[in-house]
Amino acid sequence: MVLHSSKSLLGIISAAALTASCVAEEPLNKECDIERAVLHLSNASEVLDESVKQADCSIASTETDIFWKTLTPTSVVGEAALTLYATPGARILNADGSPYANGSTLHFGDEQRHNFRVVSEDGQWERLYTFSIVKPKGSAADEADTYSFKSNFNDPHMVWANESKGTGYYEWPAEGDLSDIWMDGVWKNGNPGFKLSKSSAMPEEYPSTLAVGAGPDGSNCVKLETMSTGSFGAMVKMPIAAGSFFNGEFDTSNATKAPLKATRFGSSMKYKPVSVNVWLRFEPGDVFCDEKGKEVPDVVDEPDFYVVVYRNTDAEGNKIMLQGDNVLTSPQIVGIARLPHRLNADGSNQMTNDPIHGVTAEWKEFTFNIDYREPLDPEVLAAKGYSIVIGASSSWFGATFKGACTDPKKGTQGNRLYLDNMSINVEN
Amino acid sequence: MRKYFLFFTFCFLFTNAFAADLETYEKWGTHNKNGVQVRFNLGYAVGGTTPLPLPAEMREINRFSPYGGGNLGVECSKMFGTGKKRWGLAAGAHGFVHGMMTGARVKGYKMGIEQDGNSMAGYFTGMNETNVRLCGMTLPLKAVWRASSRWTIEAGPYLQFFLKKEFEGNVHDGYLRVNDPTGEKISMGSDNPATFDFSKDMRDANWGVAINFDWKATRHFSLYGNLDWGFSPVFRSDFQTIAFPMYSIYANVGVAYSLF
Repeated sequence: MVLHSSKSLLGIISAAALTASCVAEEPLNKECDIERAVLHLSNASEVLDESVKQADCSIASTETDIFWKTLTPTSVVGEAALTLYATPGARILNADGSPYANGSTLHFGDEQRHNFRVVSEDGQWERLYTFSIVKPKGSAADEADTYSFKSNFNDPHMVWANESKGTGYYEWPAEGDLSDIWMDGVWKNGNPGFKLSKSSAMPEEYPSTLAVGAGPDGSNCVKLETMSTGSFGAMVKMPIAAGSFFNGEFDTSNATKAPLKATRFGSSMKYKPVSVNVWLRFEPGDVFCDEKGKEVPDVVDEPDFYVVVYRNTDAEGNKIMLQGDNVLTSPQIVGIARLPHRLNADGSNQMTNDPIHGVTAEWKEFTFNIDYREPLDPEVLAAKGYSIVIGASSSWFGATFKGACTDPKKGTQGNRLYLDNMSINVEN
Repeated sequence: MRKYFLFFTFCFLFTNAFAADLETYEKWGTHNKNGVQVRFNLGYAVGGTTPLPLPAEMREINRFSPYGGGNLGVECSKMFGTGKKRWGLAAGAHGFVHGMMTGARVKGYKMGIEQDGNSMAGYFTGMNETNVRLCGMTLPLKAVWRASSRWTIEAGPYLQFFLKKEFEGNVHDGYLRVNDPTGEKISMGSDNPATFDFSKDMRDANWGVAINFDWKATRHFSLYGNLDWGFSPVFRSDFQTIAFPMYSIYANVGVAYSLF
């Protein structure tokens, strides 16, 4: 009888559990991305600037206008087969709505654009994509003595989070001939990642923002400020975001998973940079905190500014980009210049209350002379085999979430680094 | 109609199968002369908080472990009528502590979180781990039926109040598509999961239906099994993060002691 009763009880419990564990039929995929594209060219490394985009490339979730760049304005790519890899189940359609015969040979001359529509497996969602091969402008930048690598940072444009609410952040276009050298023509920063944690932030509440009329000459300048990321940042153990500014790529998809790999630095250049001139001004924050938000007494947060030149091809001949975890330490580096900073006896970075960076609350022009560890190979240089990185951060340890941040809840003021009027001086 | 007829026939047969004489009923009965009984329960609680039915977005439950909880209660019943006095009414109060941990794989799970005026919404694909811990008081009101001299079945609604409630966890090994399935893709690793805590979004009270089976091992001691099936969602109606309602379903097994 006892046995009987426990059986009937088990029956009731398992009936309940069964109802709960009945897994319904798998829903169809909602996503409709092109995740990877392959341009079939036998001489890709000779005609394409693969430091911009490789012939076989993965495509970021935010990227829909995909372009390769030819190595020189005169490089010729006529026809090439294009293979696209979409989300499982999604259909790739031509502009006229017919299914795309994957791997078709397309005409890419004259910067011709090819449009595709990708429809999700469940048919509810779609995305439009464009593929093309563009030529570098190669105007004045081809003649080193007439280049213009000067930046005044006067006219950033807005990337809206919500235009009607006025939320969003600034993005600075590369000026003059830099627009042809910087990947997709813009300076990068961590604002796209910050947007995820603070969707309601106004442009001036972002870590990388504009200071109107605050430059040394009374024009606009760039303001980098270390900010608290609020409760969403705390959810992923990233309590602060330093204001950052660099050339390269910022991969938002990895911003929380592997933040040091989300920043990819550098742009290939066929001139040897000698030095970088920039105007800087710095106001230290109130309270230095560790990555858990705990106050570290007797430490003053420091700004960071560096110029790195590295070989952008590894030993196997693959194109590489330095990332947040190796941009200042990689053996690929051939030349470097950086704001001075105290080191411990073992060479590790020191946290100190007496920094030596020399950037003060008064505007001052700094010259970063690149210290070359080895002579540059002229052939490698001509084939855009070296990349230059210009990076700035409002907090030296910002990449590991340590620093003095602006937190409206605690009433603290974070580090602020202002920069303006930058020029890259190259060897003629 | 035919269904009802069959049901009543079944009940009649069932009742007769356990039929015993008045003497046996009185021998096992622990009601005083006014038909009142007081019973204490001590039990082990297992169960979980789950959406019902399981939505298609939930692909797999790969881990489930109840936080072995307890239940301590007192019930007072009053039997009516004369003779065997097989029908009655019971009211009780049970203190409980129970909870669970579950790990699930989800696909395109729609969610939205609002915190400090900032929002994050989208579709998550990946692993979800949830911990629920609840502590409180259940007040059932049940009809009592002595199915036989030793078997008693009770069923009826209950009200539940929480003194402590916890609903927290994390998402990892997956990605979020911001706002909609064509939005930015944000990867989440296993070494840096995104944690959540929705404890504050849970209701303070809950109602449901309880069913209890009690079998007398001796005149005073019995073994019981009880199921509390929540009918009201555990989260407040303005809580949008989880797109489907979730319910608390917990079972208890234990020992009861009857006075008189």
